[in-house]
Amino acid sequence: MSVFTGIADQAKNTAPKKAGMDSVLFRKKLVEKLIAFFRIFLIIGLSFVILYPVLYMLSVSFRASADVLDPAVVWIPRTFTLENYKMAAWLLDYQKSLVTSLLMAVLCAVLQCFTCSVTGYGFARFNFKGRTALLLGALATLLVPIQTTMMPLYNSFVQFTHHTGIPTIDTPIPMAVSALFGVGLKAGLFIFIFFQFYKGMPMELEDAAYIDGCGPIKAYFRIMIPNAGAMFLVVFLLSLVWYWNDDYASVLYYPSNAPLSVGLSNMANKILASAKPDGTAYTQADTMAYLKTGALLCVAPILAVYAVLQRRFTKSVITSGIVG
Amino acid sequence: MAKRRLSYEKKKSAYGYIFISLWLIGFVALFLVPFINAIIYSFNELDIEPGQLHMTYVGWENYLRAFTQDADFLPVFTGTLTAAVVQTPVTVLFSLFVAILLNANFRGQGIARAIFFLPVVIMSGPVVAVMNYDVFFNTLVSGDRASAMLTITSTQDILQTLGVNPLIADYIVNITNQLFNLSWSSGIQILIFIAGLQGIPTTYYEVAQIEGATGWEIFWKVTLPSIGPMILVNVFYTLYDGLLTGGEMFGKISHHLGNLEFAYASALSLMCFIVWGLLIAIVYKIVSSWVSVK
Repeated sequence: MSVFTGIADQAKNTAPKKAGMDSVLFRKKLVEKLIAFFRIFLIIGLSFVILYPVLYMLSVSFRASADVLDPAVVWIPRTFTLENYKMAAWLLDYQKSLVTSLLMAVLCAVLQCFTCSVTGYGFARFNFKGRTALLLGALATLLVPIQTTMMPLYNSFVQFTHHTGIPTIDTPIPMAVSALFGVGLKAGLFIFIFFQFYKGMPMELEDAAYIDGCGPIKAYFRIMIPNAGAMFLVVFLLSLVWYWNDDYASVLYYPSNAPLSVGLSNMANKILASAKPDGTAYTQADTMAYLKTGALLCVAPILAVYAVLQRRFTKSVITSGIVG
Repeated sequence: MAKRRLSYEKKKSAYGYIFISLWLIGFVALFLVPFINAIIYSFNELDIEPGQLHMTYVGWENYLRAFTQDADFLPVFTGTLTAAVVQTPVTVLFSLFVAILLNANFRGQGIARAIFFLPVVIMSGPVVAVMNYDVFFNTLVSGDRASAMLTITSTQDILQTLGVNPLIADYIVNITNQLFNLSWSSGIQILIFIAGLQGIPTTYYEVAQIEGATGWEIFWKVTLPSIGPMILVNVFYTLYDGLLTGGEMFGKISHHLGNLEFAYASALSLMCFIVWGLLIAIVYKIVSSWVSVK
């Protein structure tokens, strides 16, 4: 509002008196101010669209059952309650599934980071027979629907347990093994990101190391990894998020020890199929409130990580040039 | 001298293999072997007993089943394909637009970026399913003013009471509904575009300004050509995301796996792999001929 009145005042004072150059400058300034106003308007609007479901979940999670579907309650619940959190945590078996999720996601993200960076470096800096074909192979792993290889792989893990007695199902082992050997979730993408990144680094860095008597492996660990911190952060956070949210591979490998994502996607069925611990049935409002609270509980840990790393993450993405 | 150089080259190529060895083992043992297994499965009928598999060769039967017996297959398959193809340019344009908005200097830039990247963190997985469930749920309950902005009925009502032609109202409603999905599915793309925009040397803009180019001309002649590679990456990523992780076909294959129809599921996913791989390759070729890739 003040922008417009300001402009109007300015227009009254200056426009009639001075002609020529001044009016051109004035018009330019006006356009700039309008664009700035329009930009802020758009950004706030779109931010609202993005934040809306999260805020709404937050609002519903504190509502008593009577408030959930009450159109008169817009954002602030009439009666605050933590009942939804208690119930959602119980439905998700929160403590157990949180441990499962944390163990799986962190372990897999770390291993994936390491292998993809090493592989990306190998592709970027060394010339060997079949390099192009293998790099295309790495990208092709992205294009195969995950289900294609999932079943045979699952079978081999079951066979492995059958023959050796080492438990694999319901442990992080199957997913960690895939991550360690560079065929984890979206590993092709990460290999490609590292490949692009290392290709963009100046050769002189390693040449200097070689002259000083460093072998390629030592040079990689001592020179390249410290310089790739930003890239590691990006890949780590993205892998963490994708493993955390995965409910496809995990539902297969964790039939009875479900991580949070699987627990959440099963929650609606669980509610439909059973009654509350006190014997009463779930109402529609309960279902809605518990699901939303469950979703919040599921993303809370990852949101906390994002809140801590957010500033550095956005900066890393921007300065390191994620795609070369 | 020549001999020494050769040995140096050989040594370097050996190091190349060492660096990719972990991945190479995984690629062969955990990708190629199961992949070939899946190909074999798709030509057989599987009988699963605890601990072992019985296979009988049936030729192309599993593939034919998709076209002759499974009434779901073609609609789901083409639906996924068209959805991804239609969604890709919209998403890429939207994310470019948002990236340009966010790239300018303004107060609260950090907060705005944090908000726009938020979907990257909770984008995938069952959380979004719960959120979508909400949006539909609210429509059904209707009258919930908190969600009035995002529901189909209420926006339409507002527009119609304002006297807007129903056809145009429909179109606007479609866009506003899309806006929600768009802003939630273009986090990565925005990120990639911002990275690209930041990489353009400021000197280019200075030169253009000195030469008297308008903002419009600068966008077409400086900005757009400079982020060609990012457009390519984003087209690739959006298409990939729409086909493989977001598509209906994914659910269908999972459904058949859940029914223990491994052979049929393998046949389906192999067909998807071939068609989608081809599609992505073709689109990649076309787009890369438009944008200049250094």
